[in-house]
Amino acid sequence: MRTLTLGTSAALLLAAALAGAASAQTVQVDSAIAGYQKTSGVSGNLSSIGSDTLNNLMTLWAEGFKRQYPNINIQIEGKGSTTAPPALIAGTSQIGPMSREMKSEEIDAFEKKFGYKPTAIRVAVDALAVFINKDNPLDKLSFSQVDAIFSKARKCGGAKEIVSWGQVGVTGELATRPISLYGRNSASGTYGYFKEHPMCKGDFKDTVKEQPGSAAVVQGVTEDKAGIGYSGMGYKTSGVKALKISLKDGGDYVGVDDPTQVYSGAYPIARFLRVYVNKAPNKPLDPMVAEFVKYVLSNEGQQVVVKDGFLPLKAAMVQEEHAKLQ
Amino acid sequence: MEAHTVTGTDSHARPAAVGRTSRRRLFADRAARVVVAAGGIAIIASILGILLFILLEVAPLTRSATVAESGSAKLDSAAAAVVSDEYREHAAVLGRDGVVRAIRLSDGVEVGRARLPEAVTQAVALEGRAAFAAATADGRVLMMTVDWDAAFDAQQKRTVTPRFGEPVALDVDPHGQPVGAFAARSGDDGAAIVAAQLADGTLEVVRASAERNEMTGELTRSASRHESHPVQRFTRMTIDAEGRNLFAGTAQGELLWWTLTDGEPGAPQVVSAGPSPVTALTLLLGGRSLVVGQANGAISVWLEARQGDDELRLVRVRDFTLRAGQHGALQPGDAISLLAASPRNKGFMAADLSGRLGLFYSTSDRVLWTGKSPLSGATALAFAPKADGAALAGADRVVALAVGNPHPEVTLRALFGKIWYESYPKPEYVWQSTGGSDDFEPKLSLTPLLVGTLKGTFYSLLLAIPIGVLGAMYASQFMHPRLVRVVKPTVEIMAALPSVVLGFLAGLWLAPHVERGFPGLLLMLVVLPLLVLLAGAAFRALPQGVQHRFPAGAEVFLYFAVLAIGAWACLTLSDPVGRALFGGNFQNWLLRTTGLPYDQRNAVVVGLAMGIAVIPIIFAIAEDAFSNVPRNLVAGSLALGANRWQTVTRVVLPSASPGIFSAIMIGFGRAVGETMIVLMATGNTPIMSWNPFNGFRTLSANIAVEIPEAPQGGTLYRTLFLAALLLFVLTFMVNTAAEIVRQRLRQRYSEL
Repeated sequence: MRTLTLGTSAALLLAAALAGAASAQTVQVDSAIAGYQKTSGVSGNLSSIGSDTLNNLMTLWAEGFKRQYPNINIQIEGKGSTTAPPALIAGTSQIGPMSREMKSEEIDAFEKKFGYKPTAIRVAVDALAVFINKDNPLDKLSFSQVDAIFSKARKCGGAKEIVSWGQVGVTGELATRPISLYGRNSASGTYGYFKEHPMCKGDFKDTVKEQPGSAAVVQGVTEDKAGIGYSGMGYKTSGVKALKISLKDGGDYVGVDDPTQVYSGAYPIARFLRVYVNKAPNKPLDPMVAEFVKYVLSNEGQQVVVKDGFLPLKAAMVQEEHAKLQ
Repeated sequence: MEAHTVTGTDSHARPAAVGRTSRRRLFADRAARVVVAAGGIAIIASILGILLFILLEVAPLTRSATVAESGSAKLDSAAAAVVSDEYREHAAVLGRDGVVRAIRLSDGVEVGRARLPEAVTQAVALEGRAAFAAATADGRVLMMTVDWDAAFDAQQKRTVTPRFGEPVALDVDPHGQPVGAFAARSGDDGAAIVAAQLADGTLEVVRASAERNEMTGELTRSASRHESHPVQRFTRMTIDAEGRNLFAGTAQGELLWWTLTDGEPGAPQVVSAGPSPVTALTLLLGGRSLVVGQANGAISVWLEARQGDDELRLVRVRDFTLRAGQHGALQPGDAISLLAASPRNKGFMAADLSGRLGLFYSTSDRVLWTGKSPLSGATALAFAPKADGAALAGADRVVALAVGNPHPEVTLRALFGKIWYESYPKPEYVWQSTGGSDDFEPKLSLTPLLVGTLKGTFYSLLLAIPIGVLGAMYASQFMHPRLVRVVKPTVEIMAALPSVVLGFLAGLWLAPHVERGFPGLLLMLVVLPLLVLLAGAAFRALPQGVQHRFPAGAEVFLYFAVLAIGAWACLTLSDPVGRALFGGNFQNWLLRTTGLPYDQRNAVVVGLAMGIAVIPIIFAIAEDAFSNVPRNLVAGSLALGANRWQTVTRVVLPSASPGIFSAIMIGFGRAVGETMIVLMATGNTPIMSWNPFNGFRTLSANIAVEIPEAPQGGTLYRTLFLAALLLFVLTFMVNTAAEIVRQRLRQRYSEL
């Protein structure tokens, strides 16, 4: 286990290095989202275990939160969304960031221990990007093509399996090259989301190289000219290119870089990032956790979201999330 | 032990003179013996403890399922359909009179009731959500949801109250005639789809759809009505949750499958399930497997599978029966009357008319439980939402069943054999343990992982054995002792390199370089040994005077220089050679000529990286083995006129062979258990292929990748422990075999 942590931390180091190179965003945080109001008497240990996609974000929030309350000690671990529910249940973490919704089995296990269901709070919007090497001339794919590239089952209706770049219209030297697939490990929410949406719940091909982190996927595609991979858009670097995606063959191809398209739902693989907390019904949330969540939902917290390359929540969404804390 | 005998004789020799020192020594001696023994026992105990722990974690996988009655209550009206709440405290029963009664199972008290506008002719509980669909005598289908609200008081005590939704009615038959077989599904926001056969045989598909934009929460509604005119009369129908696939069974045992595009049925695909009438039909969770029950008691599972012509076909893949151990003539009571799919996995329950009940699991082809139903003549059966129970309702009673079914997915065949999974064209070995949604079918075949483990080990030993053993031979027999004193510790330090560093370098630096310079790598394989031989010959050809100018043993530096220059030259020549031999692109050439795909993260890269981790181990042990060959043997051989090479190959090598063998086996053990290099340098692709140019996934890397995500106590968690047990057994067997062979060889050569 120790070596594994080492492995992940190596991947994290890389992630931190790459995050600096993330592309500049022009998104503005909704001005209707109020700033953070500091309260008193918040101190102690706060622990978060969960999503790798949210890992950078959690770290940045933790830094900001610590500036408000220097007496707080925050630990963050991000190996994959699936690690969040067991940690919440065992009580080893108070915050469980997840890039997918909890499955009913996980909710059951939580409910078995506490008698009530966990509370999900949306904290940011993430569009998944499908990346290819920057030297690949391709610029768009449809869902059924993505499915036929990544999945064995082709449940989205692709007629033929796609194995080489020539089959999606790439010409030149790359045309005959087999497509080299990069993906996340199965603990990741991104893995699950990708399976459910662009692949219509089909299975990944066995040849998808499972990487322990989003940064490793991007790094893999950067180094592999015939590579294709997916991860949250926050991990985009200059070595890769994000494809335009369309829900239907010949439909509108939408780029991930256009925030309005993501908010309107026109970009087909966008999702909410969530943190799960253990809130007993009829009882207020633990003050430290409550303040952290409030910070995340504040203007400052959402600025951090923009800084890390994700999309901030809209004011109406923030309002809905605040209601859950009551 | 050695120390003990020495002090022992010592104290005997001079008993009186140094009594005090002797006693102190005696004490130190005993203490040391106790500490050493305790340490040894602790090691053995902890290994056994680990083994025991693994066994305890694995054992529950073999536990069988239980089904037992957990409560029952009286009913006022014959049941048409039943649903249970998620805590299994209540059941809601839809009676033939059109009344839905919510009953507390602990005391039979009715806690709520709702009334459909009229009496129902037939009804089903909608799988996947707490709702009923009921057909009425005037050709309508009514749907009603039953939600269970959990409220908590100040003591966190839970009370569950039923909340009945507004009935949604769809006019299926415009002429108001009662419908025949029907299938229905309802979704959120009032979305619903009903397919029914009308009295005149028309198939009517009525749909009200509501789609919500995930980002904005906006609702788009639409409605449609389509009909078609099949020739058959249907006995049962069912439809999947998305409203895309519609199935029907007939009295002649035919199965019909329509793919609905926006609610419009095309031409159905018709297959025969045998001559017996279809009496029950249900879809397993996810809607990809169809379970068919027939009048002759046959229960079969059908999948949509892509066949040779790339067309999706309905294929019969598995058969179950409730008539286990019963031969002889068919009874009317054998007819399967009820089927219910589990809302959590690919399991289902079946009941027949004679009151037999069974719990089955499709993926693993497992009969989990069969027995006598606590309620004979049941007319409705449904799983509880968490699949930890079920409700059975009949003419005057509703019975709740507790279902204990912890690990239905695992059988020996599921772990090591080929399984036909949903949406797969044929049975396959697959490892893909998790998906993002509840209806994912876990695929837990350990075979690809075993193959991956052996593949990784094979390719790394291919590099490590020759270099390690020959290196050790050279170092011990030919190299100058002064150099050996430097080389040996240096190589041993290599073993201390953290494997994560090696893995990281291999994955991110070596893999792309190997991909680009593969022709150069191949060239090295040929050129470097030749160069070394040439350099040796050249050195020997030098006049004796010049040769002696070099200090003894320094000729090895000549080889270093030659090797370095050779490697550099090969890498520089990589591109021209690649152009000349492979038309400029090795990967394309490989695919064209051999059909093998080249993957950047492949077994060659891992072999190189893991070789670096394994070489020091093999080298160190083999070097010891060579050095421990008695000097008198070597001296004797040389004295008899054998040259050095003859001495090494005919005398030293056989005597050292037990040690070399154990060096190789320990290297093998290291390679089998190696985790980080494989984890980081391969893509962890669980494929079954010996192609050195693609990746693999090993048992150990698989455990490291998946254990953090595995819910504790779940099937995946335990299966990973089983993989650990397998690794344990594998290394244990290899080490034991190595030890036995070593002992034999040692005995054989000890006479020398």
